[in-house]
Amino acid sequence: MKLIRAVVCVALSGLCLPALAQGNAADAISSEVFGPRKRIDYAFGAFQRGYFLTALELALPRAEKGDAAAQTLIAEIYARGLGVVQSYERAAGWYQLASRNGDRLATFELGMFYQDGVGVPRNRQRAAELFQAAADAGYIPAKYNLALLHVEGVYVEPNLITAAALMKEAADAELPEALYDYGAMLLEGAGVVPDLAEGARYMKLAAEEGLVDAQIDYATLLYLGQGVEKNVAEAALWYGIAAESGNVVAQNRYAKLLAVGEGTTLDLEEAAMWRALSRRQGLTDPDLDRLLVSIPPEALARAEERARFWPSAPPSAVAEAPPAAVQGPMLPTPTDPANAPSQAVDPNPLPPVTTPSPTNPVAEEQTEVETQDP
Amino acid sequence: MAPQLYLITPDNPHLEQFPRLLMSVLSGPEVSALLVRRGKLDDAAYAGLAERLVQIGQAAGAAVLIEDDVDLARRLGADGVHVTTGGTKAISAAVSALKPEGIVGVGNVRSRHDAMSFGELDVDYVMFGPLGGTADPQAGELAQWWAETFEIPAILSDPTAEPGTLGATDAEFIALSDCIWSSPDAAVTLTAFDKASKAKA
Repeated sequence: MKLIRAVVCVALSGLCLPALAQGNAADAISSEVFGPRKRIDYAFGAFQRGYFLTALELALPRAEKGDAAAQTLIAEIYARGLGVVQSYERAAGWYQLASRNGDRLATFELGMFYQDGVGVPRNRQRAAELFQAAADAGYIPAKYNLALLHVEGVYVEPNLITAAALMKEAADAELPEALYDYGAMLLEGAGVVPDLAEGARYMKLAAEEGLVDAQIDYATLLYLGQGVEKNVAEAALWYGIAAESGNVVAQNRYAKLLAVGEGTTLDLEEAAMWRALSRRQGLTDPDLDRLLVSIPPEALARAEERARFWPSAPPSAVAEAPPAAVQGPMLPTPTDPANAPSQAVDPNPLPPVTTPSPTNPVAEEQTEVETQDP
Repeated sequence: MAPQLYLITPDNPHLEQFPRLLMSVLSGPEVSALLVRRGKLDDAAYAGLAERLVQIGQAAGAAVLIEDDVDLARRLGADGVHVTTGGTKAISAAVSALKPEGIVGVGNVRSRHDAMSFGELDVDYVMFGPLGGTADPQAGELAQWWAETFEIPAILSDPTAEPGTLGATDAEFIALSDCIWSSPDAAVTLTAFDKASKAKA
């Protein structure tokens, strides 16, 4: 199973604060109609509107007093360098404080820092503990990362069943990577009873979330009719989408479908363009080459030209000025090294510089006189 | 790892007797650094005291630090300065004047924000807690947080510490001041602190 790297999530959920009692009559009616209001977090409000320095200023006094939401907010500002010089060390410091004060987002982000060794010395054991804590507090991306750690089985107990249960929770919260990984676990029966139909369903959801790996895997399931009804046209569609995002495997497979007109109209030029793009990434496929043997040379040339400028269209031929014709003496065609010119010949030699010869002082005098003339 | 010892001289030392007392204290357990505290001394008196203590401290193998005065530290051949006033500007100036040969540490950290602002300036340590007098109740927690998160060493200064009640800390250094000098036998007290800190680790 292909596992996606741990996801960095910077959603600032959980920064809102509990409701407060209100003072005047209007507030009383308002709270009657709309229910108790949440206390306004001015710092977060400024943050949302992009006034990062104001947000920082408002959050700092609260953070010094131990307000976890404000501490997390400051950490985010430093981690992303919003209006301030980016500093992972500072971000780690504030995340650490907020995490101790029970902010699950901060706990998760600090875990990511320890996982990657950003701003703090890399410590995967510590990261695992923090992910566990954030997952216990119900933070979804932490559940996903914890699931991956259970699959890896080094820093937490190796247990596919726990991993699958956590992965399902993350997938049902529609985390794209979790949808894909849980789909893969269902397809392979890793930690769960194998279920092709359910696996394909999760794969489709992940593909719709824009995950390229999921798009390819779902296309393959559609093509083979595994877990879903066989539908080559839709498979071609998904391969096309993944190919457009630059994935080399998808480009190769999409080219094959185009070359034989399976699930899509046959288009050798288009196929050759995708082949050129996948070749550029280092994938050569003899099967695809065989399918494209019959392509007319001009179509191939057009395809190569389009690939060169992909994803933009090549500039029109008018824009290209023909190279200036070289004027000068004809060069002999070299037939063998002995016959080749030993040095480059300038086709447009400059006229020989006329140095004033000492035998002609009159000319010099004349020019001097000319320059002094008003 | 057991925290190392960082010794701070008293607020108002007896200028004649103190060097001898310090010598006897430094002949005990290993002290990493010695901070010559200014207290209420005027410039001339402080320079005179510092000059004698630099020699004594360095002879005992400790790095001797001067409070704030970069020029004095250079003139006396001290190992560095401990910056308590002037904020980031003073720290930057001290860093560019003394580093990399000399040591620049910072103290007088009033907030977490301060600590991080100072810590970014290529300093050698950040000290939490006052140099003397009453202890800061938050210092312990701040030092712990700093030691957990940042690579720059933390120094926890608790002027009211006692060898028996020395709390567990991740701080790389513990700073001792009034608790040593107010005891009847400073050398014995320092030895007790040394044993206590090693026992906790």
